[in-house]
Amino acid sequence: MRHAEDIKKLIKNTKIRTNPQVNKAVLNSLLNRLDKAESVHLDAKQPNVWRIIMKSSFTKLTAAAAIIVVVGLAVTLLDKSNTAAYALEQSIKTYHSVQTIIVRVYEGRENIDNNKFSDCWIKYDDDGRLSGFRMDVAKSADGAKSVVWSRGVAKCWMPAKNTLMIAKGEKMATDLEEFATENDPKQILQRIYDSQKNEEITLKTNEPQQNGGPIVLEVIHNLDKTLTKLFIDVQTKLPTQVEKYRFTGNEYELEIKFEFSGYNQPIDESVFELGEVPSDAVIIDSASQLCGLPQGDLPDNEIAVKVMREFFEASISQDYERVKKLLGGKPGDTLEMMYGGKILRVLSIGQPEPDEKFKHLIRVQSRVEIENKGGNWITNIKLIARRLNGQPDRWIVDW
Amino acid sequence: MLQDKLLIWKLRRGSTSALCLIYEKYRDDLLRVAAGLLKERSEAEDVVHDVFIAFVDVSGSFTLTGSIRGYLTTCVANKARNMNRTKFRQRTVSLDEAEPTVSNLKRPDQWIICDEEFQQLCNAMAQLPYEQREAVVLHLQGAMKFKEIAEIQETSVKTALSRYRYGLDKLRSILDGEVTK
Repeated sequence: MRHAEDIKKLIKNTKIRTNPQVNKAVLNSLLNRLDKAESVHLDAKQPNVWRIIMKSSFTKLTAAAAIIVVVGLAVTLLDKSNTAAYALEQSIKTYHSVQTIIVRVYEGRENIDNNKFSDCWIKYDDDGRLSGFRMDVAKSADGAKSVVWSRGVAKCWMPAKNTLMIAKGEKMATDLEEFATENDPKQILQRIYDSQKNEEITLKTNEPQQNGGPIVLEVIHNLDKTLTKLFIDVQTKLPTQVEKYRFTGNEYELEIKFEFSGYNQPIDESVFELGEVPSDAVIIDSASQLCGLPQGDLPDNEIAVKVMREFFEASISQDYERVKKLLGGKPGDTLEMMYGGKILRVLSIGQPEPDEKFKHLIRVQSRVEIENKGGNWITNIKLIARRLNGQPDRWIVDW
Repeated sequence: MLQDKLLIWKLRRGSTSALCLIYEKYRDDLLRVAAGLLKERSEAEDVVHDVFIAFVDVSGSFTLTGSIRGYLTTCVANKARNMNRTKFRQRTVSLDEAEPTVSNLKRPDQWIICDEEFQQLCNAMAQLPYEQREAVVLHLQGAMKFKEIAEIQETSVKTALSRYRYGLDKLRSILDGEVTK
């Protein structure tokens, strides 16, 4: 006969073991969720607005433009690598003559279901180089926003945050050019041929039925089973829609959809400019002032620590103009807003480490003492040192 | 408690390390509680996963009034209770027909790995009336006070304590192999 105490001990002390692989998978799903939640809970973390602006708007801008390039090239190359019955040469020729594109992008299952989209206007010059870009986003972590890029300068207007961000766009243009080079048709063609040879992809062409409709190209990547569908207009030989699917194990789930609503339609230059912004708008401008620290001969790790140290020193002495420059134009009291108090001293600045995902970002953990209403706190702050967009020889602090 | 507050403070600022720490610290305890409350192991895993997901979703605006463990355990208890109610509405079976709490079926993706002792304990728990099982599990495995259990069960502290005692007595009988009525 066991005593009640024995039963209690048994229940209390019985341990559970868990599957390490599942532990890791669940944790990864939570971290992904946190990453998304981070952009949702802006109100609770108002200072992080700047970070999200920096990370989302221009990254998205570049990504969106790059996707367009991919789509265009993909069509061209698929045409070459597949003996589809439709007029191949005509399609390629038509695509190469495209100077403007208007596209509607639905990103994410939720936005697709709720009919939330972003509209893009893209213009190329006679040499095929990007000359104008605008993206109106109906729904984002920043609320509705408009991003324009023209003559090397990018601007992002976020009415919900009453904030205008301006940055020199050379970096973005460079990214696009690099991307275009990387996606040079010859190189991609070779990769497609290689992929086919290695049976890495499966191509399927669905000709239109007698009653009309588009030509549908289906590309399945054999490794991850992702599916891309391209809908080609029979008359113009240009893509009208592109859909990308993720394979869930049982079925394909639509992840992103592009609807091409116009090719070579005249786009007025004013589309690539923002209208007037309110006089009380917060302006983050890294295009018209010299921001950050010059790298000089210092290696990346050393300049990362140096810019971090100077940033903290300027914060402690409340030299907000200096802080502003070291933050790439963001308001100088941002860190105080972020931590709800004043930085009193720096206890240590840790070893710089490249970000796991974005290798060009260097994370530096520092131990600081902060004063706020609740008293003094000693805490670790992990900030990022990175090259300034458009001024790659200069380094700034970000998070 | 101070450490909990600091973790929440960091989590509100999107700290992944804070989330990792919370997850590693409370994961096993929550799974143990959920497994004690639910018949199916897969349901227990789902409940804990859902609780963590919900926790992450509210992390940006979360305000901690007690302990993280208490909060998460309460969430698990509420979810498990809802799941049991839903199942009860769907299907009512006698104790004799009830499946063992911890399924022996092994899946490659299973989260909880049970040893024999834990499995026996869960099977015994499954034979208790739900309120008694809940009181026992939440007090002994979830380290909750009877006042907190009473709030979850929407009853008095005295009743929660009685349920705990009755549950413990019955559990002792079951584990000792005595016939219970």
